[in-house]
Amino acid sequence: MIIRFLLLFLFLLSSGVVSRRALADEKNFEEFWEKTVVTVEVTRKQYDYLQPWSRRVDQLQKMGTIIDGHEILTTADHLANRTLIRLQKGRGRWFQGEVTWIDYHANLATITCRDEKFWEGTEKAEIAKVAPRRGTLQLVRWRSGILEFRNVEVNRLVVKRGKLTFVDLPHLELDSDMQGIGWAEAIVQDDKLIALATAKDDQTISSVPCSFIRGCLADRKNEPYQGLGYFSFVWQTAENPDTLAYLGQEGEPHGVVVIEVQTNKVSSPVRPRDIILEIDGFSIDVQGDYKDPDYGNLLLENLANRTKRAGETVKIKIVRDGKEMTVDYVVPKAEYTVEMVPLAVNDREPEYYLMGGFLFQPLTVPYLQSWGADWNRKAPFRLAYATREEATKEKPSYVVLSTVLPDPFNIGYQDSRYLLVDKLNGKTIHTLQDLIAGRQDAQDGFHLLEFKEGDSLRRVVLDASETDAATQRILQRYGIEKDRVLSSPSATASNKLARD
Amino acid sequence: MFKRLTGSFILILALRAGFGASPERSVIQISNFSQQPVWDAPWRFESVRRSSGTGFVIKGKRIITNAHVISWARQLLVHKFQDPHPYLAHVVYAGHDCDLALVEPEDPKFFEGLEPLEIGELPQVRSTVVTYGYPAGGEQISYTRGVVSRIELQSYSHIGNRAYLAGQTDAAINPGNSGGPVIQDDKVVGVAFQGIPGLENAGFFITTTIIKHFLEDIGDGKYDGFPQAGLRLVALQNPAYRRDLKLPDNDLGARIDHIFDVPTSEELLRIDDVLLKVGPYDIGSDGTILYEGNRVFLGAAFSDIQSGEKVPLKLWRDGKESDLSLPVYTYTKDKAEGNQYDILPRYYIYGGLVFVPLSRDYLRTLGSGWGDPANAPLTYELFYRKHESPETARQEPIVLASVLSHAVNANFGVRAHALVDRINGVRIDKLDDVIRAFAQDTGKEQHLLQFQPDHTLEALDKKAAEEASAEILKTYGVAKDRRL
Repeated sequence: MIIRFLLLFLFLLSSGVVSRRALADEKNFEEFWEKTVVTVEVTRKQYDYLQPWSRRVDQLQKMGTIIDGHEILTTADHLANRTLIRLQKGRGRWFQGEVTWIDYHANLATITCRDEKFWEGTEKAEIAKVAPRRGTLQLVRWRSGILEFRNVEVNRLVVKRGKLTFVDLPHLELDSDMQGIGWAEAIVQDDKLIALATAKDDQTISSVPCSFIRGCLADRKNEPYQGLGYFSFVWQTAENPDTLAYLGQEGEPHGVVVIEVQTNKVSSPVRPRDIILEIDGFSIDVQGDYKDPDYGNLLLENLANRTKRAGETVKIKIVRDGKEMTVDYVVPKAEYTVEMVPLAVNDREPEYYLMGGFLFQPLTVPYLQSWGADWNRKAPFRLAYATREEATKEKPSYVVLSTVLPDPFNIGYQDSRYLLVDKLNGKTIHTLQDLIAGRQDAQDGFHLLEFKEGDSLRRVVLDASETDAATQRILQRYGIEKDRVLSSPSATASNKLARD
Repeated sequence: MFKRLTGSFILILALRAGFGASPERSVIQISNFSQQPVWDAPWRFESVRRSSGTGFVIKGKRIITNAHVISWARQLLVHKFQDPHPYLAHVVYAGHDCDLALVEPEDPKFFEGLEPLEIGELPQVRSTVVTYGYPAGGEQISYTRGVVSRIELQSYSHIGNRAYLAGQTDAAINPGNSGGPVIQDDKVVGVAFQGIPGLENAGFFITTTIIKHFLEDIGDGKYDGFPQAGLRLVALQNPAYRRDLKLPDNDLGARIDHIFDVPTSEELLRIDDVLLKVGPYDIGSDGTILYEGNRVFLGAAFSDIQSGEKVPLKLWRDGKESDLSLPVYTYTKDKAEGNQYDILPRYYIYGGLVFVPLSRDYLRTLGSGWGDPANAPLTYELFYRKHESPETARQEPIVLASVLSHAVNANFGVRAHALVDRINGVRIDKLDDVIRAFAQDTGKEQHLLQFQPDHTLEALDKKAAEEASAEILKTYGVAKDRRL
């Protein structure tokens, strides 16, 4: 048995060497990637959230890497609200593509092409199992019809907030002085895909590493697609021995202290003041790291998705009131709607409801991004502050009065804007649907609209009998097609595709 | 050369034609050697700063100037017109809400040969005024002429959270002019006090209505300040809202949208009461009154009244008119939201942890703007929470301002700018609670502190902290562990 194991080991080792040699000597490294990396052209709708009925179309190009199964792997970034996908091999003609799977939280997507001619002469890349922890890799991209290869140095693998999600995910960081990186460029070693580039900050490229990609693609085969999970508890490092002593831990300090547990839409067996000692069998140190077999010290958040997926159970060993115990933690699914102010609204028109010139919209990060990339400084303070609030069952989301389109009906209110809606006719408002329902409860022919108490206007009264006529007049005057766009989160394209 | 002389000639002539007397003799230059406290290390002071402003002599042998000219003074010197001798002076009254102060020279001889300037009435818009003062750019008195551009309510930036009547003029008002008289027909019609950055040819002066209120206020030997009714009044121009309130469509009335925690207003007034008249002034549906020929926000009417007096109101409630007499008082509950003066900041230090009340002055020490994401939780706590959820608001939110590093607190993870939620389970509503919470016996060897908004927990060894306290204070040069 030992001999057989050793033989197998030697075989694997030698096959790796052969593979590298084969690529270098026979197939030619550059030729291989020329047939593997393609240009993806995305045409997509862009919305002006301050005028949500207004839209424009823009076009951009990014990279894709052909993988097994006649599919092209790319990042999910910039694919939201797409209307057309086209693919180009080298300098050749464009083919129409189609997204077959997308997970915005993971920032990954696959695209296929129904035209068989596209696949002629292509090669497919194998996705490496583990990203190297040091050394030089190659970044591959098409630029002005020329395939570029540039060396990038592996810096580290780190767990940090994903580009399109609130979930902390593994990122392979690479050092490079190249500009304009972050368009799903392939990071490769020999004939293996190591990562897809997602962003560049100063001299550091962030990329989605192969091991994470493999996990997501494996999950894709599940029915239903589970998606990424996250830990719904907030912890702090336990570098203060006095704090651990207070909470009843004896001996050498380790683990982290739970300080907050999200309770709005998920239940958690973990409670504030628990000390987390182990997750999924991995010991947690006082900094919140575990020793990953592939990558060394990584933030514990990675254990929500390392081998698990949303809905699966992770065993967590804790100290509670001085006693050690193990709890079964069901990893909740990462969904934008978990947050009070959703980080993204993908593949949906912006929702709004126009009532007598009052434009109501859900408060979302895309809405706040109307104030630019620096929105958390430039947007109205109270709206930006809402992103710090935790959603609760009683207060799951906000509706904002975005503006008032002037009309004789709303005279005196025209300067009201960026106010968080509290009640309509006495009913608390969390969604646009609440507003529409609240309209039924007009008192003595008047709507009473109340805003969250702050430093500006609190109450507005509208004539209920004139509201619809005013809305119609305003729609016509301002050239707006409809008074509302409402969509159900369950009808998103991403979810549909994820189930396919 | 000829043109320049001609120009000067006309200016001198005009000045002589305008003023029979020589007001400049009664205009005083004030030098303030001030030292402000450090709000996040309140036992320390900033380095001494010299600033210069203007004042003028009024009857009663006193000098009136801006409060911001004399604030945090360690030494005040007053200089007479073309007199090289500096005179020591001290502050008699400071009205920081209205940015006015009275200064008295130590030497009564100072006033020899000086005639007090008379306080006049509110000037007419478009009328000509001349400002007198000692602005930057030279040592001698400076005169600038302009017209009164408009008169309306302006935010008074010295206090930061009050608005009163102010005049705007295109006469140049520059740093150093502050506290100087704005003169028309030999009488003072305003005190120059502030500008708006980026706004050209616009300086602002405190109107005589505010000056007279200040002088009347101190008549009893103490300054109370301007009363506040604690109302948010908004325009009432929407026909539906007016119909809902059964109010005639006559362009009169402003609606009470919110009542702040002012007991008399909370008792006597209601949300959706409509104010039709304040004192002698009818209130327009846009929330303004006609105040001595100027259309200004109705808040100006409350400036006529002293704290403790009653303001007659005519209001519309339940579909009919009624009369009410509303007592109004100085409101101090929001003092932390404004800039604070005269009283040194409070603090308490335990085990090297420095606790201070959250205030606008403290927020300023954080450097970047209040909207900065890093400061947002404290900004929300100070300015928004009490309005949005008064049940969770604290009387005096306390911040861990800094940690005076020492072995006992070296592992304490929270180092600064954190709102203190609880200590040893005691909710911290004010600075006294911090002292009480540390003093209580919990049966544990550690104190447990909880911070907002992230619920961070940090413990501190009790015995070690108490033993180290004196040494920490000594190391950091702190004379006392508290100023309460």
